[in-house]
Amino acid sequence: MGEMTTAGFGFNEARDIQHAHTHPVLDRVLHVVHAHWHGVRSATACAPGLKLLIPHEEHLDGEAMRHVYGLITKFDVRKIVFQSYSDIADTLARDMKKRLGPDVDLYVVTHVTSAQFEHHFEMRMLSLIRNAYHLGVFKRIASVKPNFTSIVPEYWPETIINYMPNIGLEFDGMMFDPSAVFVPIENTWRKNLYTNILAACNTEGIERIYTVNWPSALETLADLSRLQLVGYKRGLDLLTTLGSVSAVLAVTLAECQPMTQLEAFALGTPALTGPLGLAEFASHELTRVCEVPHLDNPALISQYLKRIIDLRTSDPAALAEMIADYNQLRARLAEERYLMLLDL
Amino acid sequence: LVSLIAEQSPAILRVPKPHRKRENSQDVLARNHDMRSDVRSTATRMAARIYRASIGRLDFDINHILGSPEFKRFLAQTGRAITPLTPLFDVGYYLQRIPKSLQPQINPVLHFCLHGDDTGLAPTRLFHAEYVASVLRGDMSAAVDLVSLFVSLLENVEPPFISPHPLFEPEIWTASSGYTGPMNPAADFLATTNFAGKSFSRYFSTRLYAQCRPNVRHGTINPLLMYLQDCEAGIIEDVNPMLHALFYKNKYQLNMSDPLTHYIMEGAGHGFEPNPFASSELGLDVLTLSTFDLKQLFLDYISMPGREEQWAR
Repeated sequence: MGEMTTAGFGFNEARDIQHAHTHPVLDRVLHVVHAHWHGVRSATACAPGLKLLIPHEEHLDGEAMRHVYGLITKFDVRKIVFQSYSDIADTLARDMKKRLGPDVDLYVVTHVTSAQFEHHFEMRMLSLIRNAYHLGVFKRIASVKPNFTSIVPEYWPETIINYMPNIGLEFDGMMFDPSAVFVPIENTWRKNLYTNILAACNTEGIERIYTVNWPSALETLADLSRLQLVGYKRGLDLLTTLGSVSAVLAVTLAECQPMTQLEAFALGTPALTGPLGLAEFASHELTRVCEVPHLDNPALISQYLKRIIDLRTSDPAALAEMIADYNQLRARLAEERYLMLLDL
Repeated sequence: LVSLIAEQSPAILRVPKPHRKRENSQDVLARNHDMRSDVRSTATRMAARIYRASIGRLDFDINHILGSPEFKRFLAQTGRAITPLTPLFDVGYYLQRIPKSLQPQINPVLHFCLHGDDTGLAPTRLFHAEYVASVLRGDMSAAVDLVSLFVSLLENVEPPFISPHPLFEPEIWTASSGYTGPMNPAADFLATTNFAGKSFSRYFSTRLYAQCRPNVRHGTINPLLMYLQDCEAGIIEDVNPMLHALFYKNKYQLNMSDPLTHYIMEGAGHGFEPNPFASSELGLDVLTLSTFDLKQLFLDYISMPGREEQWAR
């Protein structure tokens, strides 16, 4: 492979474009995303456009900076969207504005919720974004979290809708295990791993529970014999696992628009989450059956899980149609919002 | 250069011929006289072809041109004010490379026809003899007949057009400028003063060049000539988005003034990487780089998808 002058720097890597949507205008938008922030990277990978990967800790060296401007020129980029923010992104954005001037418009889309502010880094980044916005570096700043303008008033009032993966025929007609569920969440307070595992363990008919993290010490309270640790998965491995189970459990305490759910939906697998507060989908039937209102209630989550698994067994066509309709709506809204944000 | 010119064209340059030991042979003198006469006759004929192309009358018989008083007047002109003359012959550029004291005394066209092959002095920055030779004959090393290559270019006024330089593509220029006139499109490219919104190469980005040379933004300066002038002056600027000129020059320890032209003509063929990220982006490993002919792959990689003309808005 070629010499990398800056670790974490790259362009249009396979996993960032192979499941992206396409659009004649949005395909020319450059998304700048941090290579090691996997959730944001997954969300960005589904959007149409070019994908520039940058590191979040190490600044870009001269050759990498030169390459960025080469790519902007080669692909005639006029709109650049920073997906999330870092000190490196701030330096790059300011340099871009200085060098490219009015030829190119810059935007930021953040993927953070106020629940994450215990990490002060997030607030510092929002402050940097706000400063840059007032200096004219950014034309608009927006969020995938609804009503973020109540936290930072400069934010664009509309919510950016994440795209789900554009899955092709490679997963068409994939068989799934009706007695297996997948819990692809971290073991942190916010991600609510224990509650999800307990809910799965207590659900009738579930024989295999795949988890990426082990709920340590939970064996003192529950029978974990059906639990199988599969570790973190990325790319096709993750999609294959998501497509091979009857349902996905990701009922976390605070989220924006979790990509795990969208990846599962793209494969036709239902995925439970907590309430996401997206008004655009509030009345959709899939939201009603997949968003669990009480997050620390394993019995309620179990009830939702049982209902969705039963539906998938009893009337698979109805569930498939519901998911397909949701996916279509999401793809349409995602496209509309990006076009609005970017004035295209 | 002065001695070469002086030795080979004492009459035109009005420089006394250096004293040489004669061979005391009437035959040798006669033969030398005949040879000089032949050379001058061939050069005059070439000058007539340049004149004929300059007046846009390629349908005229060359003997008719040779006998015409207009051509004789043309040959009698000296210094910079030579008319009529094709834009492909840049008198100012040509004379700059002739010793100053001789500039007002010579007819640049005739001088080029007499000495171009020996001195290698091109009549314009845009004339890359090796490239034209490679296009016409498929052999770069055959660029010893500069004059006939140049005349072939001048007389090529119908598609498929010959380009004088790897960084100028006639089809792209005619498509973006709409030129349909009687000259080779390269002549129109050199004559125009309006480059706004026009493209002339899939490898040369005026947009990128404007980041370090803001004066080309206005579209009144020929960006390619300016770039070539920069190269002659030893200034290396990036004009191709994917070719990192300094990286390329330093990594492969190359001694040349124009990295982009060098890459197109040689570097890509050797499998040289245009930037530190190219192999990674193209999915190439060391074995592939050293095994396969990747010229076309690399040339495609450094070419632009054809939107450059929309830049100047």
